Amino acid sequence: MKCSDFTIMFAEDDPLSQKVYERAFVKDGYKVVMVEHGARALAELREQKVDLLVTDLQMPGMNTLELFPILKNDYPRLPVIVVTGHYGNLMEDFKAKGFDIKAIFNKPLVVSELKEKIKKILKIDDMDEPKK
Amino acid sequence: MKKQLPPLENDWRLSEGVFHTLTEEANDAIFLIKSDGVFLYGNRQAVALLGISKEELVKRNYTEFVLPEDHKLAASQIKLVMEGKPNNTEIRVRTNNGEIFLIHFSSVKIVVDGQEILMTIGKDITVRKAAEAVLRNSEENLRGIIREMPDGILVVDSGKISFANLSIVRTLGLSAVEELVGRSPFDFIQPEYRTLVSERIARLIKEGGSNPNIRFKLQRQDGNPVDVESRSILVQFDGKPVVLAIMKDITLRNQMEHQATLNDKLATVGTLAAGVAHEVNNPLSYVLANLVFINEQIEDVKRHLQMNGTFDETCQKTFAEMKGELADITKGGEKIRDIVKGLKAFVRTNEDEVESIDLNQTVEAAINMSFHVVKQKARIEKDFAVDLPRLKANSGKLQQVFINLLINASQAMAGNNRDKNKISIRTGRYDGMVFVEFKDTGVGIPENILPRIFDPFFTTKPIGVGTGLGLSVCNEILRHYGGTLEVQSTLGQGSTFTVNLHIDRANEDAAANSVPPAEKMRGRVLVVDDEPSNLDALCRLLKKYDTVLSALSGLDAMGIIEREVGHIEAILSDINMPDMNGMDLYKNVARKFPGLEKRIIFITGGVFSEEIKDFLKTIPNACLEKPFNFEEVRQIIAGVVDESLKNQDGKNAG
Repeated sequence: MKCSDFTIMFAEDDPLSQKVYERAFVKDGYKVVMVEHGARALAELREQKVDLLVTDLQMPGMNTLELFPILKNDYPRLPVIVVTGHYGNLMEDFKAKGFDIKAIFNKPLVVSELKEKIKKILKIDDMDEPKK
Repeated sequence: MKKQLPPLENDWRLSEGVFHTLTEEANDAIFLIKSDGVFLYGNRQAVALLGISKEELVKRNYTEFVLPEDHKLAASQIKLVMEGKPNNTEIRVRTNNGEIFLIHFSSVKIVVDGQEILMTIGKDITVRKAAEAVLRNSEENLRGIIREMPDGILVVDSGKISFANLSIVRTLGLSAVEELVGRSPFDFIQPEYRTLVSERIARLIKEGGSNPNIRFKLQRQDGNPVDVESRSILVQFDGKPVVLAIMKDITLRNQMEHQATLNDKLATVGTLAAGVAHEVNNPLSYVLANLVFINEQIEDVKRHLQMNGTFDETCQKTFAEMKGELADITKGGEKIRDIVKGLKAFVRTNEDEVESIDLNQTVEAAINMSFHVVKQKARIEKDFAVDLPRLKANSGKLQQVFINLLINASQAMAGNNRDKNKISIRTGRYDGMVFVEFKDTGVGIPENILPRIFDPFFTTKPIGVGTGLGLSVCNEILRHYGGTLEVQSTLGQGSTFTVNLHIDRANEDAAANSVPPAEKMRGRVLVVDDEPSNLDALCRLLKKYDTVLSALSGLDAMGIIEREVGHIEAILSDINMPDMNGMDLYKNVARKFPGLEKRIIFITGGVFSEEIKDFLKTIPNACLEKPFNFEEVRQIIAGVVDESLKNQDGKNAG
């Protein structure tokens, strides 16, 4: 499997952060779906197949905590990665609520680490990557 | 009784009837007593006083009715009178009914047919004495209360202290009341407050009544200041008006208030800290990511140059990308700088530093600081007045007030529905004041707790969410600058908190004088804004450069354009207006006066409907977000005016 086989959805309200995701992941060959908040994420999930969701913890409109119960119910197999500017033991909170989160990334985000994690989750082998 | 009277002088006997009437009708008791104490006669009042009949009276001895304790007094009374010395004595008498009265006896000796008789007039002074005793007691009590009262009391009579109580003596670090009496009260007031106090005294003497509470500083004997809260009233004393001042030492209270302000600030910083970290980390994320990209691109270009040897189109494309990334990095850096600047202003230690402040900027900084807390819950609508005069305050403290109000507003709203939850922030001016209004669509405040919301430690929030200090601290901070905090609330609909502050007059005048001299009038500009104060301000500013026409609505504007057809070089219009908004105005102008719509410059409060948002994307016109820099507005208008005049010249020449 290679990057271009996958669609990643990013839920992020900040336009400049959106740009960064787009720039970093489109270059790697992923299909990228960008949404501003949880409600749009749900709308897009109904429209197209998404292989992984990267979401900001707090967004206007519908934030992640409101989104998760719906994801758990409707898309139980969608891997989710949370990006947050908040520190604290979020993973335990999520586990306590029964949400299966693949990873939590703190801001400031290191994009290369996020890329590595996504590849691991999607089981992408770098050897399959086309040469630049 | 009359029959028993011994024979009397002839001339006197003639008026026996008169004598009888006089004695019997007298209001006081009249007795005739023999030297052995036996009664000879008593008038109507006399027998009524002792509670016996006239027949009984003559069988009884005076001393039988005198209380044993006063027997000596009675004996000496009789003795003195019989020696020929008239006498006044107060003697306690027990009546036949057992009642005790205090009687004032005025006694003289008379001689009737050679017999020496004591004649005495008795007046019941029991009640008067009791009243006197009560009065004496109450006066002593009152004096005691005033002397020992915890608040200081001064009476100022003709510019000199005529009375002082112990509390004020202690407050001033003196040891005796005498050190104050006779001196001028201004000897004990810090110099910078003397004018203020003397004006108050003058007003009080002129107008009477009372002066409301003020705070000023007294000067102790050792030179140290004491904070006092004082009110004064005009009272009559010995028939002339004197000033009575009641002063409360609030040095400790001030210290506690200061502490409360700090505590609230710490609590607020706690609430904001997480948000601020997020606000910084967000831009930091894309700054770092973009740096990684640029690093990769430099490598790409380097590789490309090594392989191809020429700086070709691919390299140029990569450079253009890098330029865009650098722009984003700059934006991120600026964002972080602004957040840090806001935080610095908020937590700076120099709490008392008062500076000239732009209200809109301070509100904006507060919004930035609390944005992360607020944006989850509600959208913010800004309607900032243009060209607000500056005010004098400490920007950190004002930010504290605004952040508190913003956090309260967001906490008053349930859920995260940003279509429903809204905080409208409006600034403006009236009379000598500027105001900022925070209006939320929250739960509102029940009427029964409304009067208590400014009380320290009053909170309806769960433990750990609020300190209960917020609003009381806001109130204190504003009071310090002579400002006020008002609240209006409707249960279920929301609350509006309004902060009113005084304009910094000195600065306003300076600003007015520093305006550059007007260049020659150039074009004609139509300004359209439904907010009269904004319209005024914009017109006032633009008048210096162009001929200005003004309209309070889109419809008015259309009327003016029709009237002035061909003579308007630029239109500056608000976007959000009732009836005909900026977008509708644009469309109407485009239809009726094609070409003129290109010369419309829009002003916005920053928020508008999706429809307007999309509309603005389709047109090239400039759109300025409030609060804006006036110089920027002027230059954009100048550009439009110049363009228009140039075209006209072109046409005229052609």
